[in-house]
Amino acid sequence: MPTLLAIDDLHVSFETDRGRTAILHGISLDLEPGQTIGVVGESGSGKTVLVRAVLGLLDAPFAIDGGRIEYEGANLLEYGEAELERIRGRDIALTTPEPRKHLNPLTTIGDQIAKVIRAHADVSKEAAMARAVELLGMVGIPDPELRLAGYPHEMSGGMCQRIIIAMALAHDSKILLIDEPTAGLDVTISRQILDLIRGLVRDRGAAALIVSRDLGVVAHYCRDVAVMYAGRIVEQAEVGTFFRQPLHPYSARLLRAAAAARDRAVGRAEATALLPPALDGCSYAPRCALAEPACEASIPGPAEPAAGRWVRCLRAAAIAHGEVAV
Amino acid sequence: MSGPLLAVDGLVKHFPMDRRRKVQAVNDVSFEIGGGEALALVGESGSGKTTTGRCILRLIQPTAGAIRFDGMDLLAMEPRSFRALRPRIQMVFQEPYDSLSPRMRIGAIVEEPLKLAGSAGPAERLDRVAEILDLVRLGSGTMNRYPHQFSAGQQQRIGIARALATRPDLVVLDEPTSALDVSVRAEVLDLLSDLRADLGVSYLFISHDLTAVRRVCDRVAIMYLGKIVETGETEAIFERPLHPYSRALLSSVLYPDPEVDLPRFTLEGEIPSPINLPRGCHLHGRCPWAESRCEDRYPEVERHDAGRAVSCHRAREMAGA
Repeated sequence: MPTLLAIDDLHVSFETDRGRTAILHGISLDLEPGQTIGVVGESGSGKTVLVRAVLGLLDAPFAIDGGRIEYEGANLLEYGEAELERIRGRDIALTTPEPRKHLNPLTTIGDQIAKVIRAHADVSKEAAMARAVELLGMVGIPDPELRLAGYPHEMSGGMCQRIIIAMALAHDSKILLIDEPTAGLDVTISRQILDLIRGLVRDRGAAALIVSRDLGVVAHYCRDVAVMYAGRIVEQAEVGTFFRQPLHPYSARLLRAAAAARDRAVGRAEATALLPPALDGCSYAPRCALAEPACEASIPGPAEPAAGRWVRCLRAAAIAHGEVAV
Repeated sequence: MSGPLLAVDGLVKHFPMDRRRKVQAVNDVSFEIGGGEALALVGESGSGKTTTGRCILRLIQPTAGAIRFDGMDLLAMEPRSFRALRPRIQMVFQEPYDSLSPRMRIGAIVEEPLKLAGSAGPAERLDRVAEILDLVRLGSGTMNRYPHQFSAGQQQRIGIARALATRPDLVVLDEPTSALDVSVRAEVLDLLSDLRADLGVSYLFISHDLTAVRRVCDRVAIMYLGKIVETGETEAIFERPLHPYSRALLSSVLYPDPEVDLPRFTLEGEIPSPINLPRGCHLHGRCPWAESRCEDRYPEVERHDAGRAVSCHRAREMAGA
């Protein structure tokens, strides 16, 4: 399968008056046509920074320190603003979990969607409005013709979220970067939006990165999963294998916590040791029950215990062979 | 205590918009909570669940209905008597950080409701703050720190400590875990369960997160457009929801396991506006079971076994199907 988007060794930092803090420490991730990868991890693990970096949307004090983001033979990190503008929303579309921040409060919904459509398509205002109605219908907004004349403040948060998703679907983009698609959406609507994204990926050969805190979304709507912890992908695997046998101790803990929050039959939740990630060695070591002295000494490189899945943990082989329990 | 701790009867709350229109947020809601019991009020946005909670705390004045707390009529009470009662009813909010004053130390935040209650002296208050911080497993050593020095999960524990400081009989929890990461969500839910078991406090747990509710609550009331459509024991409702809206809501839950099949019971379209409520059953325009009587009149509450009550013309008939 050809790669649609190849993120290679991406490093991002955050500049403060006390110096630089690394946010992403060498992220590598490939996306193929028809593939949906779920990116999971707790707040602050760098998920949103990762998807925004792809479209050059990180402003100061963020800085890209190295790596490549390859799309159609070019490195997006070398693109200027004009070149990025050409692909944003057309080739690669992004949704945000904070829809109100990204909608203009002074312009009607119709005008905002039409603007997105006409940014990359040479169509009349009328044709753009007709397309806007179609898009709003796709994301399940009732009476879309009536909504065109409305303003963001007249819509609920869930409605604004769906308008942002409608905009991301305007140009049959090959790559969809979907940041927290279900945040703020009611459960019945969430399923509708996720079904829509799945249909687009399947029918049009698009690919999606879905950032989500909800492991239920990943379990049912993604083919693969990438687990982030403190700015690194610590495990990547096909979803079925991952849920059956997570190999990184952090992934295993995440799955147990999700099961505990969802099922009364599961025993008590484990207490979280609220220790900050380590700066040297494996960042998860301070919280890890399996940590050994070696874990504090060096950052484990990515090991590939089976084809298509890899994990950054010194003890992964022992875990995979059942010698230690995670 | 005889009778329920809280009895809400025929609660109505309409917000006027202009001379002709009003948002009909809560439309004739009745339920009871016993001493030490946890009732979940579940529904999607616009269902009226948060408005119901706010009416109970008298943060807003209901349009009609009665709210009795320990036999006393809350709505008829003078402000002074209600203030005296207030330490017995507390609230935990959704956004842990936003609901804590950033300039106050944790000790002062937790002490505040004790000061307002006015019954304890400074030394006694300090003891109580230390005790309650231990109880929510933050430790009394955290008293001199500020909210921003804590993680979101710990901040929510501070909110819970503040709510419990006055030894309330009832705590209204409004989406207490929605803003939390999955890794701490289960812990906070377990803490809430433990505190209820240890202190005998009652909860009104308002949430759209059905699975959180399942871990904490004895009974569930499911709301749609300002009405309770189904109530019953938690496990019974999860095992076999009877109302079509409950079925749709429960079948939308994505369990974190790819091997769990997703049952599908889908409703057409969108929740109608609470400004123009549909006539008849509020769900009829979206319901696959709807027939002509559903358009004509709102269904009566039908009582089933084990405290289950359902408002649907066809629930009994479809339960066998």
